[in-house]
Amino acid sequence: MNGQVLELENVTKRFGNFTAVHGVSLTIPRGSIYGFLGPNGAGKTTTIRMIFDIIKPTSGRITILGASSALNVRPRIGYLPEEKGLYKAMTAAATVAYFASLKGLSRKAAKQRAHELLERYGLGEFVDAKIQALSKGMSQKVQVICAVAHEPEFVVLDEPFSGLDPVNQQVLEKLIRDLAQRGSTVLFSTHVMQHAERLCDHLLLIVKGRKIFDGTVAGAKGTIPRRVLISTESSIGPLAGLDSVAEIKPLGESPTKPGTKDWEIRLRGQTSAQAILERCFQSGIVLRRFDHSEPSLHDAFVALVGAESLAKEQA
Amino acid sequence: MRYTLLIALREFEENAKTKGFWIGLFTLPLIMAIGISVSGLLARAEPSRYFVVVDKSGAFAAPIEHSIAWAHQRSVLQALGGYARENLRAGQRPEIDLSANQTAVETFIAAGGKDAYLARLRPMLRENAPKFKEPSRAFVRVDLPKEIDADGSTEAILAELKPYLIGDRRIAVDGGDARLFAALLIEPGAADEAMRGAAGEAAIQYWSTNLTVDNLPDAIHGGLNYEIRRRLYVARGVDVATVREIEATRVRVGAFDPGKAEGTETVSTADRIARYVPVGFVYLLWISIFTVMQMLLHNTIEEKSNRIAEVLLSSVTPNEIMMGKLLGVAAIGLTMVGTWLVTAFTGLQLYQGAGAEVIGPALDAVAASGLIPMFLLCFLLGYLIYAGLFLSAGALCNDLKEAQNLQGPIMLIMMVPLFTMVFINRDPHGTLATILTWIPLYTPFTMMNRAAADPPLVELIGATLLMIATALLLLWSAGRILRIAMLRTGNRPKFAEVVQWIRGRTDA
Repeated sequence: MNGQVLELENVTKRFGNFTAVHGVSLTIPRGSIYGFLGPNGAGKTTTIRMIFDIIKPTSGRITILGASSALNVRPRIGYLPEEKGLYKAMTAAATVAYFASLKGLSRKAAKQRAHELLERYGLGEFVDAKIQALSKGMSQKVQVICAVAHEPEFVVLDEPFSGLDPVNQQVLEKLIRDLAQRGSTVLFSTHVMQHAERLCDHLLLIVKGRKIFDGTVAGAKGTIPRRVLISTESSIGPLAGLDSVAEIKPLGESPTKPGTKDWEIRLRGQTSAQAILERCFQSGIVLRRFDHSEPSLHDAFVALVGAESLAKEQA
Repeated sequence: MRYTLLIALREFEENAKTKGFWIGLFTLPLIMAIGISVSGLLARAEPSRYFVVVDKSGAFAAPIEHSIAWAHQRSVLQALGGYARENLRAGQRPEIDLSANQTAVETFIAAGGKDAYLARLRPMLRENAPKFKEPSRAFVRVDLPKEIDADGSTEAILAELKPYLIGDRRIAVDGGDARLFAALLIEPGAADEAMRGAAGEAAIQYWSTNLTVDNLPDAIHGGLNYEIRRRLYVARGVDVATVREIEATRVRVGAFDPGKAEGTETVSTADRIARYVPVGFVYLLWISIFTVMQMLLHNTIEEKSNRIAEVLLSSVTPNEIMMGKLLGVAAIGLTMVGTWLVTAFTGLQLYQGAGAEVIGPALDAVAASGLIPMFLLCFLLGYLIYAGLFLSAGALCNDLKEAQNLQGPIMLIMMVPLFTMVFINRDPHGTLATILTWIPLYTPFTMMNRAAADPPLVELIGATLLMIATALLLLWSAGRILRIAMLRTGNRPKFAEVVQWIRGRTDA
């Protein structure tokens, strides 16, 4: 476990006849920011609860910071659950100090740290405000601070961005980067692909309890074929014979440019789109649009999860 | 253990910050303080009540006056007793009887009343003792208002008195005016009828709108009976003085308790009062357990409904959460109960009203009886038993509204000790007491109630073991329920499902 903070070996969790997590194995290296992606009901929260020994796996083995139970290393780990909540009648500072003290800090040190962190992340004037007097976003920030106040080696943030406005999302991104810079390992789950794309070194994607991807962001993007979107006034038959073209999909008449047709051309492997452009010029195909942008993580997610899961999630 | 203590500390601090805690803490002392000061104040400041007597028989006016004067002398003697307790120098014990029983009052009147007793007390008083204030007369007889003809018929007199009795008119008293409290109308032949044992309701009529104050009718009754009996003795040639002397004789029955140490078996009034104290303790036990259960339930639901449970469970085990809560809330409960007990004891020591002379010894008897350790034992075990129930209920409910629905049946179950406490105290070894002793939810209250009557050692040990076993079982179950239910939202689980959790047959 030298370079790893977490290792799951063939972990399965069943609730009655329903299997929430199917034989998931993964290894999270120390010092990385790990994105944990998956549609709703994929088993992310169940996996996280098993990591923290809140619920027991039906089978498989979990090793966290070298220990067989998170409770044995609780001062070294931090957790922000998906369903967030705090004691409403406690002040922000007392709340942070309380959870930090539950993670092993002395009461005095916890108090000091609470004030310091609330100040650093823009809540300096609310240290003595009761949680019930704070906005939803502010209390969520307090809870994130609760999860990291004891400077854990490994932090799990379950949907940390949900409910935050864009400004506070940036503050949270900064906090996650600060943690990583300090040497902490961060695992966070999210639905917002931009956050994962901006922050993560590695991604873990699970769908219906099964791991379908575990690797780098570039690796995730590489799993989907590269494509070119073009709009033309004429037929694009000459492109069909190209080696780099795997498939041509007509998308119908362009909604923005009447009289032109849109096409999606899927490239073979990681080949370049240069050959397509050259063939268009050679064959006199009049191009109204040539779009060869990098696939986004969102595209990769959609491709990996599948259209059906996406539809379910959007509903 | 550190985590348990941290949770306990938070529970204590947060509950101690609530208004409910402080209201609960001070309500009882406040009520006692008000009760004590008001009762003293009322006793001293209570205005005299005025009544008229229209005695056409000519037989009863004087005995009634005598009877009322006697009652007043008793209240003077009572006040003197209080005055002496407050102002005697330490170690001084006057050789006069200040206990206000019949013999003591007779002796007091015969000795010359207040002035004579004060003269004997004075050398024993503190230097700065205030002057003794004689209590005002509770009832004062006044003459018929001038415009009413005393020789008219009873009906006519009554018709004219009614506006005074219902407060429409006021009678003239010492240069001012006052409401007429009561009127006593006695027909001419009332004495003869009474001596024949044939007096109907119309012969002697007591009229008053206030039917709750019974001191006046009692004193009147006493005076009437005294006079009728005197007349009967005379009519039958019995020497009245001899009869009075014989009537003053009292047989004394010594009451002894074989359970007390040799040489101290005498049962005093204080001991008798102490016998009823368990009822008070049962009530205190009920109030304190019920109060802290509300806190426990509220906190558990807050942690569940506000989704705090999951963060907690990532830092501490369900058992640590439970133990922390139990400790913290128990500390709150003990603080409250301790304050109540100390206040009650101090308040009663300071109490100077009626019956004050036996309160001190009664408190000593309570302190020596082992009732307080028994109360603490019953509180602790009762607390743990009910905590097991309420923790489970809190974990199973999604919000306070759901918990309130569940509380209805729990409340009904909890009311039984209150309904039965007087009966159990009266018959501490009866069937009801024995049955309730072995129903674990009622064991703490029943054993508390029976404690003063020395229940058999077997039952005492058995009941204690039963309470311990029940507490352990319920808390163990609560721990299992807590672990699963705290993270569950949505429909409340069915009973069979909860049983499965307790038995450990679960996928969660």
